Amino acid sequence: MTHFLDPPTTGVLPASPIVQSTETDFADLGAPDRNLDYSVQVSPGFEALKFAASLLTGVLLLDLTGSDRTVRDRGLESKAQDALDEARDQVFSARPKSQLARLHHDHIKLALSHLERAAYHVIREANVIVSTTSDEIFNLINSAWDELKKTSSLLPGFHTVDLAQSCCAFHDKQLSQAAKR
Amino acid sequence: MTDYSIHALEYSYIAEHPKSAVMYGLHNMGTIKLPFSYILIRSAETVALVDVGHSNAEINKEFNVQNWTAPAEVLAPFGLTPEDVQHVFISHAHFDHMGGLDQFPNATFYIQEKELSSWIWTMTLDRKFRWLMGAVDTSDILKAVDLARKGRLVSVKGAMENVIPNIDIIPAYDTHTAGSQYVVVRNDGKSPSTDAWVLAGDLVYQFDNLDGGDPDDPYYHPVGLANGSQEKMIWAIHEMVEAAAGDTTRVIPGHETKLADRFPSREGAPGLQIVELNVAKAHDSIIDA
Repeated sequence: MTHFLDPPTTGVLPASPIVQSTETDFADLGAPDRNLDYSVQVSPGFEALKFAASLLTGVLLLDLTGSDRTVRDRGLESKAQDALDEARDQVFSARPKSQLARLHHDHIKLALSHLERAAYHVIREANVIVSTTSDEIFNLINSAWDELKKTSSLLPGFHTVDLAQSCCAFHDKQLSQAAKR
Repeated sequence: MTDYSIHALEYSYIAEHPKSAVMYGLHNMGTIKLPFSYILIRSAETVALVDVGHSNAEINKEFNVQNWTAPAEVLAPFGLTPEDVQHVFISHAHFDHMGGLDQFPNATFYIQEKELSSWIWTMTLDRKFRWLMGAVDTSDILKAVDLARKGRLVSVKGAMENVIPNIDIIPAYDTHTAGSQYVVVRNDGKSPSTDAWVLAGDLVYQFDNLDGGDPDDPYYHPVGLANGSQEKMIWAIHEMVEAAAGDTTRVIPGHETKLADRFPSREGAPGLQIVELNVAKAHDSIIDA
């Protein structure tokens, strides 16, 4: 008999273990174009994972602080699940062609796995703060976020911090453009 | 009665920031230096901060943030460590104000519930609405969750007087952000106070927001960035000036280089200012220390 804290038996992908990367891992990096196809393929999945992680964390925060229930009523959980479904499609249709990209892909798959387990708990709990699973959910989301951060350092274009809409970013772009003129 | 020393602690800056971001509508007016700071409030028994800066190195690289200095070094001139900080009042959820949530391991944090729930609500919106997420670092949510799990995040609904003795937090909804708040320190212990300091967060970036840059014929000029309403921001500025008994010099902006001209100051970490706004009876000035 399974315990309710056990990982769900369905909807969880098997993630291969990640070994510590060494310089030899990057030996077959080759030309940047070699990873371009993969980056383009997996990027929407990466964005969907970030979105899902944010929403699931938002659910936790609202519950833990006893915040406005009307925000919860906007369907954070179902949007998170939709994002994970989208991420799963994108992640598994991406084809890494180098060892570096495969390492990147492993991190992405681990993030997906962690978030799917977190969503499994969140969606089945009406109010996670009263549930003993809240620590489990937090740890899973945290682990997922760590995996996503690792991908940022492996290939360009995978940013966990996206402040592109901040005033600082707008002005930084303007200043850079002005400097080029 | 509790008497508080108050210091503005610069922890980094952006060398060139457009004037129009600071003063709404003033386009093509060049750039200014934009300091990033937090405010230290101390009594004999209490160590508190208004905001905590940011700690994400990726942000420094992305936006060319200069001289970022860790809280341990920023607080060192006061003989304090981050562990000594007991209370933190978060003015709003932008990265340069609450990104350092994980830097103060013993503090309890106070933020408006509306700021949190609005932020999370915004995340649920379509990508077309992403401007509303500007300057919010989503990884800060994880830090907030961690604090909430440990019972160290207080979600405040509305005004809260005497959060700690003689310190109030007052909301300014739908202004700079959905749930911005400012802090009033009443050093005479009275309400209304004639010895109050108002710590404005980003409801006021610089002194010019308080007088329009025209001290002889002053007017309120809102800051350049508002998720809410400029009109509400103007009324919030007026409310803060009233809380300071009409003394605009007691309304402390969030990003003002001229603080160091108006009040005693000294260099803390290299290139960064410590500004002494008030010295309590229990303390000595640190300017000549």
